Amino acid sequence: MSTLTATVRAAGPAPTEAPTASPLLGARLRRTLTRPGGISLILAVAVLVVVAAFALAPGLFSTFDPTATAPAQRLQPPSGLHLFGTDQLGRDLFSRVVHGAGRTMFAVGLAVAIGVVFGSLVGLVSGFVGGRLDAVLMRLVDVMLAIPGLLLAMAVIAALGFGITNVAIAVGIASVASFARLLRADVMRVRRTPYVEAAFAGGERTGWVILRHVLPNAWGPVASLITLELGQAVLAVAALSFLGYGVVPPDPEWGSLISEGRAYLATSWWLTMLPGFVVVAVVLSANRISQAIQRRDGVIR
Amino acid sequence: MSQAATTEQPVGTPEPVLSVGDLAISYTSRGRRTAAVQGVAFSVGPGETVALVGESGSGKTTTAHAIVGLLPGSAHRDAGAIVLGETDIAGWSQRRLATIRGRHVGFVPQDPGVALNPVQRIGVQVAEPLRIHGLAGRAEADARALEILAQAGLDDPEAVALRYPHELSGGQRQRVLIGIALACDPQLIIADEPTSALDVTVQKVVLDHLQERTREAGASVLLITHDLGVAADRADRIIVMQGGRIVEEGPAARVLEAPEHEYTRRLVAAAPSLQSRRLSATPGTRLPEALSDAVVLELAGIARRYVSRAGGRTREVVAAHDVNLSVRAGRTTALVGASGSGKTTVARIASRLVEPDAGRVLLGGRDITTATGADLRELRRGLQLVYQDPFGSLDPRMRILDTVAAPLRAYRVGDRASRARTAAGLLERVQLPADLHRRLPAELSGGQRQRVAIARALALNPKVLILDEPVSALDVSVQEQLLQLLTDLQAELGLGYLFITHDLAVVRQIADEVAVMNRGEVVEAGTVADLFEHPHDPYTVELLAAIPGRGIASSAATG
Amino acid sequence: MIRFLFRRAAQGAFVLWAAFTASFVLLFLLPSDPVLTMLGADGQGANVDPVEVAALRTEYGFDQPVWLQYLSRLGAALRGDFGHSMSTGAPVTTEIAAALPATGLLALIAVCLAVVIAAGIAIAATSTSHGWLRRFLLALPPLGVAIPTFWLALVLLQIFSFRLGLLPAFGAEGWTSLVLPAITLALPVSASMAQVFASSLDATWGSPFVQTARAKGARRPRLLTRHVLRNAISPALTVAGVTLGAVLAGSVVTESVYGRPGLGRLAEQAVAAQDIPVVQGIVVLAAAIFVIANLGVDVLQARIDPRLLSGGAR
Repeated sequence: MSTLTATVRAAGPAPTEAPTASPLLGARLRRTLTRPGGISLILAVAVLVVVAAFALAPGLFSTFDPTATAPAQRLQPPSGLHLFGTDQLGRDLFSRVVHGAGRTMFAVGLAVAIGVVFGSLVGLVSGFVGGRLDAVLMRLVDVMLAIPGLLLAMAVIAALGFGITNVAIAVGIASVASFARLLRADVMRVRRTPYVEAAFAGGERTGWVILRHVLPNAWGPVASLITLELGQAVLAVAALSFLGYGVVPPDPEWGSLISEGRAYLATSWWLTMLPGFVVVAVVLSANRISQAIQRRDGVIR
Repeated sequence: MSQAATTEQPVGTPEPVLSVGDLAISYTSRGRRTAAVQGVAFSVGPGETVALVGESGSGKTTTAHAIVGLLPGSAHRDAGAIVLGETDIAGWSQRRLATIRGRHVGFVPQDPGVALNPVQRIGVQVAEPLRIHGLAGRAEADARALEILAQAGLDDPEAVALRYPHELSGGQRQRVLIGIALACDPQLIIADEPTSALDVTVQKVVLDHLQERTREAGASVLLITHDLGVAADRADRIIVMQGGRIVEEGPAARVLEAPEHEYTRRLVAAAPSLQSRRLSATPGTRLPEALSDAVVLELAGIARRYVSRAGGRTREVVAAHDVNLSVRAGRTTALVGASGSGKTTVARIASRLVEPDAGRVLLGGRDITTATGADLRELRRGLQLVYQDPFGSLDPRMRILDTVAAPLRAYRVGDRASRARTAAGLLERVQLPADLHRRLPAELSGGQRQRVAIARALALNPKVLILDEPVSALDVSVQEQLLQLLTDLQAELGLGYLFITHDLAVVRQIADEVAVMNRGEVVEAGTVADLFEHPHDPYTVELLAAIPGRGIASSAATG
Repeated sequence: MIRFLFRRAAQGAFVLWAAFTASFVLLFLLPSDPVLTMLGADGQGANVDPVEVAALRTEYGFDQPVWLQYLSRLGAALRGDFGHSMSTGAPVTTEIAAALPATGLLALIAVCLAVVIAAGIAIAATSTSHGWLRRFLLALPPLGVAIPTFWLALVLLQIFSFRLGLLPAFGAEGWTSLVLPAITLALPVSASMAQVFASSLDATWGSPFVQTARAKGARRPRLLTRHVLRNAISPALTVAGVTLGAVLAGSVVTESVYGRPGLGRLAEQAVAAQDIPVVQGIVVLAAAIFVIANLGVDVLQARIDPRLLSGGAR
């Protein structure tokens, strides 16, 4: 019906549901809160902000030196003084989790960066150039996808040696394939759209078309995959350091914290459970944000 | 439980088969409620065909779906009665409604391409309603399915019954779906835009078939359509809906010849029918002093083949064979054909987006077939494209003004500020208000987007516009406005148009010359008047005969 | 159909070859020197006997040109010989064969369990007319994919072995020792399967042909069994194909936590010891499992959807 009124005077008002840019952060926040699932989204963002703060300034949040042993205080259950209790050497577990965030997040960030940079490059070239090069690159991606991510990362570690940086590189390499495939699919989708063709027909040059039309429109799903992969990388990094390929004690890191607690599973549950909850919270938050980005872009996979 | 129910409904009773009273339906999305249908009341008599006509958003489809309880979960019936025979089924549960659906009311869906289960054989799907309603045992239902397929006019029903939907053509699938709707001899058939996804010649055959079969069965038909021409050809009575309300109702002939409501009058005037004539420029349009009609674009002997792989075999498809066309300045050449006729391939070859296997493309007398790189870029300035899909042809992340200025930037015309001024001027020329400049395409209606696409195409002062089905995705009234705009621009700027369309009615409104394509070849070409009055080629004759709405009176069309 | 299978098998063979080659490049050519690693002197290099190093290099063929090493290893691999473990000296194939049955049984149980859980959640969530039940069920899979496998294993141990004392904590004795590892492996996998299956079911419920069937008078149970399930299952099958690989990866952590012997354990120890031939063997095995599982999925999908065989519209 709005189309009809529009035609009466050649071009009338825009459809009524036109989203208007909201100038106030407060108003936007309120809108998010009232939407279904809005509270969980805000919680998710809050969790990631807190963890980022842990990683950047652990000293602000920890009440104890994460490596200072106190034999008299060993294996204390959680209390007001020791939020997460203490470990077998009497170290404050909460402080160790806070200080471990930096190491874990460094590894996660490096891993995702490797995946995004190399994966996007491969995907962009493959999707835009097409033809033989695309066929070759995608067969390689197929092979990488044929090997389960954790095993692939383990193989890379076997080649590179141990340490948190190598763990990060391994996790990053293992995630290149999924980024490459996703960006390729989206680049190809966008490349085939009439507006890209119209841009070429309008005389725009290839580089400009990629920069101005293809990348911005192909980027949405990648942004969502980045946050999703962030959660996956937390899981992978934690699993690999749980297996003992990561940091060297006594430096704390989430996976190794849980691994150290294994020996006291029967008596001191907090050593494994509480750091685990932190990992779950971070992964859940990353997944939730990823889902929100997909919704915003109208892509539900 | 008993056998055939053909004679259950005594013919000739004054009781309506369906009567809808004071129906109101609203949709809830994101907690907001919008009314889709308000106070709708009408009835369908025995053996009668009633057309529910309206543009998108008029509530016609919602009304049809509400009758058989096929509304989506977000819709809610706020009020109203739906009386089928003598029973009010408005408040019935889905479980109870299921006993009515298929049995007493048959439904013919919109797009036959996706309306059949892709992984089930045709025969099983045809037999299903009989099995559901316990009208036949397995063996009997299978036998009836073959009869139904035979009645649907499909050759070799046994073979068709064993096929899967993707192995049938669109027209065949719609015949199957009509057969399914009629399988249990219902008193009422609801056909929801049954042919809008089909080619025009197929559309006529399928509508003929629907009419014939429902007449045989004595069933009433509620025909939902956006096409006043289709309604005029097929319906006894026409109900016109706008914005969720009925604005006019009456016998088909009366509604078309003497429409009472202002909206109906506009619809009838806008309906592209055979009676419509070439649009002329709006009075007051500034005309250039000297109007030349030199040939600006010429295609000579264009040929193109594609290799398609299907079922492991490679097959060559001739998309174009020896196509010759010319476009004159200030004139429109229309290229008409069904989907798959090769018309789009020709358009893409003309704009140098696809390479021809043979033939030449001449722009302003210069052969541009072999131009590459900088030459091609320079030549492209003279020839621009407007696409069919107003949703896909604009970058969703670019603001309107930037989109229109993009070609100027690409050719380094002027500086940033002057480009913005030029773009604003172009948008004014296509009659888009200035407050839309900063909007994104998603915030515009389909007609507005197509205006943006036209403004962008005009940015480089081209000599020729190639228009690929520029109005076929739009409602008729929007369509007419856009065609008028194109006519005005042509007169003003002396543009040559190559106008690609499947709709002969539109050709009459916009074109001077016309070429009809079928299976990659131009089967007939000439002036519009010649071709419409003295068609020679059988395919052209068939196309002309298939145009719906020949019944619309000329007096109404000129009004 | 035969042509289709042949093409897929050829693609599978390529994947295997490429996996072998890629792991060769990665493992044999990258920075660390396998011989030094083997002698436990990686990075220090002070107290190793050069004669011993040279002898080992000759023994493993590391003194030959790279392409010769590659060809001889590829030739051997084609005959089923992946070399010898650097830590135990036993043939890689023997090591893998010994570890395979335990993991195979566990994986089989886990995959079956995962399929049942995923199908149950997805079908129940998309079929129920109670909004709250749907929301609850659909909230489970995202939780499932966010839980680290190793932590899930520890939580299950904590609850069922230490708190309730129902099931054994460690070891591989008797069927009761299979319960917790199987659940540990199945839950994360079933979560991702349930997500895909549920969204595919939702999409299918909304498709026009289901509307056609409703217009025929079909009720929900019939719609589900005759129309929705067959059309919705394809994406879930694709995920199921990848699942076997995920189970294999999950077995590394699971077997480590529950102290079970098996492939995962073998992989963990091989990486810890940088036992390169064993790692390569496991990588190629993982690729082979992926190829076979996908071949099976392709055949199933072609049987379900007639459009795939005609190679037409997709």
